[in-house]
Amino acid sequence: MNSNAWTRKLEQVGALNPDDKLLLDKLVTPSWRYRAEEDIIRAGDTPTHVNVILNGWACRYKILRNGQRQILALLLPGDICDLTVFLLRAMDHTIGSLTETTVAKVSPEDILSIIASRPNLTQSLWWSSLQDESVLREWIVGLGRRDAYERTAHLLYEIYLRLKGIGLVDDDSFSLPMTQAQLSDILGLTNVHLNRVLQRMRTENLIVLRGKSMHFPNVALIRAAAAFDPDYLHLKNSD
Amino acid sequence: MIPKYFFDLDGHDPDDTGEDLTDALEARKAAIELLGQVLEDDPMYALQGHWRVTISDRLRRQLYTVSVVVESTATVLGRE
Repeated sequence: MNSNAWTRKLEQVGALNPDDKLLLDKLVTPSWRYRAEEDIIRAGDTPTHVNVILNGWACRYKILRNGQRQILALLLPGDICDLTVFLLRAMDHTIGSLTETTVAKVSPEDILSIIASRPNLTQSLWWSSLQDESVLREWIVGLGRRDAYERTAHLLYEIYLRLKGIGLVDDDSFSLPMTQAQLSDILGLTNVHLNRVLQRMRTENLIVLRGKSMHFPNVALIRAAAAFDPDYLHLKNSD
Repeated sequence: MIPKYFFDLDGHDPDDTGEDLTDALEARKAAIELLGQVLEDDPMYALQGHWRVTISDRLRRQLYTVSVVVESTATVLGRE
């Protein structure tokens, strides 16, 4: 796997020409490293760069007055946070690492230059933004209408497909470097409730979870449990 | 009626769904397994002070507490 995660993500919607790939390689250097659970940019900060996740997992989140955290989006390698964020005066949420994470910081000038002169790459970037929005819509449906079991299965299967698209799934196994507490903050479940749901999934052979490694013994089974329709990911070739 | 038990992890939201189990001894076993899984999932959990599960019955009467205690041994540390 020679290309960076950003290139691999954008190539899901269509091949990039060699010049565009060279540019993306240039834009992701240098990169910044963050420890696990470290904020990359906080609510209220003025965004000056576009953060691109190269390695590791991050998230968007908000903290409520009672101290509870709600994770609003999962940011995986190749994800951009957000393409035109520099238009905002201040962030309305925080972006923080969940694991050790490597991030590229792309300047507004570079983004605007791409939009002005590289239509092919621009379309891929817009697709990436549209996918972010459609994932958010799907998460709203999950939080509002899916029960804990289906919501959890849906999230795990979505993660599987998103990672598969960037070459990070091997034989239906992938790294899930999150704690159950972090997953609970996405799913809006208590830690204990999530633990029960995962136990049930293990018993039903939907998942094999060993440490931070997730395996789906039967992909069709978890897809059915999630009632998953991949259309919202707008992938060229969904599972 | 199958008894329902609630498992509250220290430092986390209270258990809002509970679990149907045969009796209090089954609940105690389940709590031990739960804490083991949580610690395996996040070994730092014990060092953050959130190392206790309290088991309550359906009326929220506390029955058991299962704890993991991390102790340092001063003499061992002194030799390092």
